[in-house]
Amino acid sequence: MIATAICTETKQLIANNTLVHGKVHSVFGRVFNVLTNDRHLISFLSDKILPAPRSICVDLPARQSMHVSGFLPGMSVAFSSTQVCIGSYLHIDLTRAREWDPHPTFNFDPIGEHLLVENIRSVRDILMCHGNLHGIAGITPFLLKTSPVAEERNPALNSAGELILPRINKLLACIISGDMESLRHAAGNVVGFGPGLTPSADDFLCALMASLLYSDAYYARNLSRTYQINNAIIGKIFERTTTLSAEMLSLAAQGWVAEGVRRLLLAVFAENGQRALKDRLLSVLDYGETSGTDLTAGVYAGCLLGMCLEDHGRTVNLASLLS
Amino acid sequence: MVLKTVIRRGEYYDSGRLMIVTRTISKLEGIIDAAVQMGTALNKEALKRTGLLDKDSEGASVDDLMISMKGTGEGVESALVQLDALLNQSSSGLQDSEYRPKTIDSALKAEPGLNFAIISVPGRFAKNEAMKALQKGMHVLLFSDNVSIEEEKELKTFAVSHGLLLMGPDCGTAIINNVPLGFANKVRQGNIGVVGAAGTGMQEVMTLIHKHGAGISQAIGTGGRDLSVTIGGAMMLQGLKALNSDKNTDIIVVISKPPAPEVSDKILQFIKDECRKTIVVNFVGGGRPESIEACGAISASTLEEAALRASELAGHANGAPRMAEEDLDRIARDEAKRLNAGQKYLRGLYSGGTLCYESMLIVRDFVGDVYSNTPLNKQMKLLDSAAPCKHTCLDLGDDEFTAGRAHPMLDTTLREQLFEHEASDPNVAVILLDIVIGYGSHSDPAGVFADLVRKHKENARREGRHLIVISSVCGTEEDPQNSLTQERKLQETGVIVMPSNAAAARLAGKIVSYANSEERRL
Amino acid sequence: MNTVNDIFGKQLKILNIGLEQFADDLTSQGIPCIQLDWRPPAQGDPEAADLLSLLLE
Repeated sequence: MIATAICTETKQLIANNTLVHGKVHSVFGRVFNVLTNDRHLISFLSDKILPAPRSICVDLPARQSMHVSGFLPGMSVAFSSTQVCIGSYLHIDLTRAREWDPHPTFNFDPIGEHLLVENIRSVRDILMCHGNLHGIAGITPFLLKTSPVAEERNPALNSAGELILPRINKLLACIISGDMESLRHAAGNVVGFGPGLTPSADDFLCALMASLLYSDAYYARNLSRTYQINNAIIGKIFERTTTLSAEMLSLAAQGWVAEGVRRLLLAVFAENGQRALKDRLLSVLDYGETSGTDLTAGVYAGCLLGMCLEDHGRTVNLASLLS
Repeated sequence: MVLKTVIRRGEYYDSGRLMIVTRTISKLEGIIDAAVQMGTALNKEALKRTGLLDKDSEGASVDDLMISMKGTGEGVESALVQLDALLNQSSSGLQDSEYRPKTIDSALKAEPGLNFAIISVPGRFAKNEAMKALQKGMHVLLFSDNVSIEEEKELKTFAVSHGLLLMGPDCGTAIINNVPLGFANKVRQGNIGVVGAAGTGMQEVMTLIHKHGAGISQAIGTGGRDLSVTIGGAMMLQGLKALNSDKNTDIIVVISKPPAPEVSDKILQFIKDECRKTIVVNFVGGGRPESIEACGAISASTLEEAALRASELAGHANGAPRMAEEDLDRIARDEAKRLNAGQKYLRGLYSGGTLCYESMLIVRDFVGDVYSNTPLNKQMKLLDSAAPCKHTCLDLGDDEFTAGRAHPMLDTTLREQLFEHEASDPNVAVILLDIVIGYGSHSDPAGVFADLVRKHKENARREGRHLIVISSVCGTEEDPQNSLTQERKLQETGVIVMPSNAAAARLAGKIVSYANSEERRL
Repeated sequence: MNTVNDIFGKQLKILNIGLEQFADDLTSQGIPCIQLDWRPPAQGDPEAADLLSLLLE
């Protein structure tokens, strides 16, 4: 197989011999994951999927799954700068892969604020209308209690949503107040919760953390506060959630997200992004089963929170949330 | 009321699968509540709240999958029985809600009349699957390659002694009861049987037979290694015997690259002693015609000729007359005149191995041996297969190009890249491109290359060169891609479309020989 | 004794193990074909697959 894209960080880790070997962790239809010697997860994705942090995209033929291609959990994996060898006979040629930069794109031309509000509203409406609400995304209209209930879908909360809504609202309030200790505690009550291979609440948090950073960039704020906040959120993840999810959370804390989510964030915040917004939303909503919807709910929360941080006066009912 | 948790450690299922399991179990009779989640602290807390937490789920670690269910004794038992099947359904990851059997045995339970298996799993697993299928009385088309010769022998020995077909390994083409299997074309049904060790060779012969107005009774592939000494032509003989006894077959065409001499003798001996039908043999580029004719068979030197002779015997030969030699010559001279002085070379980019092989044989008569990754002459093997030099014909279906990627008949990417490279080379005069259509192949190869040809012919014109592209379309008008549409698309962009692979190679050979001759330099 | 000729003229009922395109092509022509949901036999070491077959025989 040929790698068509490689995350620049992965390429560097291989080049300086940090990444040398590992084992296949899990195999799915269009993806397989490798757990490396330095306890990282490298995903190998079909190049029909957009790249993600640390991933390598390969030219998996259209009607062929990773299973039929021969990848098996437990197979040993060896990395070199020219190829990845899996098991005793599978090779992935790295020499033709274009580089994908996982670093967030903060140097965009910001859209006018009235249009930003429109965009955030679209995120909410499209997610409620087209998303899969079986995770926790049903809580969206009730976040921070600032948005009216959407007309088209009855957002009756499922049991997961009911349980997690107050905890997430508490977490959001702690972000606004900046109380790190309470934030750490609040996060501990959210991380690892929900159905799915990557728990729903984790998808939400990943997108929340990344959106906060993009919001800082939009308002030209210093990012250090948000980095501190994100670090507080992910403080204890390795004991509280799955290996796969913990990896994604720690990357998202730095603003490293899958290309589809990055494009969505740029469509929300950047000039000339509006036209692409709906397509990029639908594209992200399509991820996994509920992952895409939970991620989008996190984007909404992060964008809304970002606006509140700019002007506390805009936050309604904040006092009641803090008690 | 029974509460049961199943913990799956170290097994990872995508969220879609987990959702289906949750929904299905929850709806089972006797089940009151069910939850399927990863074993994180908060998920265990949620289970506790809904009364689904027990000792097992409490002990789960973060990467474990917890499947919790509460219900009647029978309900829980029934859920447990179905759990495995639910977890492992549709591993391909494609949207699918129908039940797919996981093993050959369960497939037979679902459909007891299964009589054929097409196997294309990775080589190291292929033999076991093929043997299982044979043991269950199924004929097998074994598409997989990287099966060892010992495994092949074991499989074929079993197949022969049980009256079964083991077509392969590395066999992509067969037509049984007019059903195209693998990479095969939709052809008219008729009285000509084919047995071959060369996939695209069979496709070329069968589609030409169809064009002549005749038809195919059965086409049996034997796999490329069948005529080696170790295998001894086991499936070739099996196929010949079957066609010989088939009341719907009157003529048999045998196609293969030249077999090992003792195997060739064995086959010809069988033809002489046992065959009651008329046999046409094409050992592409080899086999001594005299020894073939001595056995009462007809020797054909090209795939084109084999198809023609067989069709004549079947009473059809007027459908697609061979191009007159003078016409071919005239076209060759006209094209050669338009080349600039630097353009000397021929580059063949083949998706079909046998077609590449046949072309090299034909072109040899005009310009001598050519370079290749699979050359006729060992000394002409390219050091770097992706770097053609002088006259070169590449078989892009060969293992070194296909390891881990789709076959070039299906995925045109690599051939497109190579075409762009060769078309930009100022020393190239002619590019040969086979277009193989039918089931299994790309949905519109002619469309893909037509665009490229248009672009590069224009570039060449601007640079003072004349780029000649010659193709033949191996297929019929009944194929999904429709050979007539494919031919038209190519012709519209200036590709010279020839009626057969052999004709295309002959034209190419003539052109480059004129381009390199004294006559032209004058 | 069974011979290959037994299959000639009979309705083919096909089991596809591997690349799904083959099953799709057959289904598009109305030929009955089941797609096997194939996975490599043993987790971890593929060598174990053969051992498994030996044990199951």
